[in-house]
Amino acid sequence: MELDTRSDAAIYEAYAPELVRFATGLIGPTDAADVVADAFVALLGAPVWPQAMNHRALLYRRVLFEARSRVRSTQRRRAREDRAERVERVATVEFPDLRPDIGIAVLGLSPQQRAVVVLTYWQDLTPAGVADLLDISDGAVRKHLARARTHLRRVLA
Amino acid sequence: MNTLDDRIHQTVTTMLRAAPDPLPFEQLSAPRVVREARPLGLRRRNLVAAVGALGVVAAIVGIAVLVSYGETTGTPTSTSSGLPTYQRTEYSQSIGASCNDDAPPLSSGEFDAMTFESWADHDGRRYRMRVTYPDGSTRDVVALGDPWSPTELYVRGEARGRRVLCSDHRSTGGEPGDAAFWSLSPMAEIPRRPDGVPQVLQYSDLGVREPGRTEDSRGRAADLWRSAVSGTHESSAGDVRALRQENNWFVDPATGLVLERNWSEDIEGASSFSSREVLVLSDHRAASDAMFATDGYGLVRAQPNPATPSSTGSPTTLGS
Repeated sequence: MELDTRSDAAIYEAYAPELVRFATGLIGPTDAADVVADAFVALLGAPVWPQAMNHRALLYRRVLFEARSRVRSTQRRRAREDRAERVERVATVEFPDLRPDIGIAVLGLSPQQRAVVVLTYWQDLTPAGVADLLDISDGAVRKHLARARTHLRRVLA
Repeated sequence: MNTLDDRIHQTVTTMLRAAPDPLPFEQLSAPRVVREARPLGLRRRNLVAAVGALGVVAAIVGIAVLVSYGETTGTPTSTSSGLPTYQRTEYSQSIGASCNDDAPPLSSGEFDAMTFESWADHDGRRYRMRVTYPDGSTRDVVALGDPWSPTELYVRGEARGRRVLCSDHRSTGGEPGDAAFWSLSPMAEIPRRPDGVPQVLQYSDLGVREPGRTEDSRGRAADLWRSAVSGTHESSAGDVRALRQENNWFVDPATGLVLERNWSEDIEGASSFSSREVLVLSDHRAASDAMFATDGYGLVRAQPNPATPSSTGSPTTLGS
């Protein structure tokens, strides 16, 4: 049986650029492309993939999952490091174009908060749109957004 | 936007400006083991994996899903009678596609309607699917061990569902399952990952139940579960278009079986696709060993599955 293998490539090529930007907002540019590649490879072997109704949403959720896993893994590996120093160093390396205090504030957000902020301010999605994409409730989106804005206000206001 | 919003917007824009290019698709690696506890362990760099390998793995192992049954992942169709369970589903699709380049759409297959029949012999751990096309031709799949990740998977016949592919956007159409066992509602227990997440998502994972009671296209009382997503689709050429996808599941309130699923996808000015899967029969019925015999089939997958130990018998004697 001949399988049409082009469709997976087309899906990847269609969504990878925006997913990498999304991942950059979550974990910075260094690992963003790898996180997207991991997410895609994982979904490709998942049973939901062949019949998924919304590959894009699945990919966004998986990228968020991968980013959170990577953040946790990094935190475990560097548990003995001083957290403040590490955050400052990462902020400087990952987001050199941002003022250091703003970069540190961004890294102080949880991955979920970062995801909501990125989708809200980059893709101009409404809370309902973000909720649909990430498969969380409207209320959760508003809560993450409110907390993130409060957190960022300290350095941006 | 107020000042804070403006500044957050500016901050996000600055952050995302640093985004690197994605890895080329050809540099992604194929999963070695599919749906293991953490299948991401495969590294994507420095591993040669052809696009075809990815597609084959996905199609073979991605045992067709988007199925559902109730709120749990129990085995919905198991029976104390020991008789295999049976589902018959009518599938139909409608494709509209235009390509944005000079090349005409590539098409494969020819039929927009077909009948799916699926048998599950739980005692023998054998699963059979037969697709019958309007001209009477058939395609068969036999999965042994487990329908989700079979130890052995056999196919016979060709997929003849119509599919359209443009060079500048994804393909549309086809038929459920490809080279995999498929049923509208699950015919075996859905496996879970170690963290408890089901490996096959159901309507209750993907959709939201609409209030009240409705009817499916055959007038059967049903609960409606719905999922709708609006967004954009970016082609490989960078052409961005509005995208909307909608999924409606009509679920039998008494049994939890999916009676009907309607799916649609519209990419503005590029393609539209809709499909309908209607369960017309679900019961228990005897099935002979011949039903699961694999003479004349091609073996497309054979591998030990730790989650579902393989039988020691030959394919034709399993469960006998």
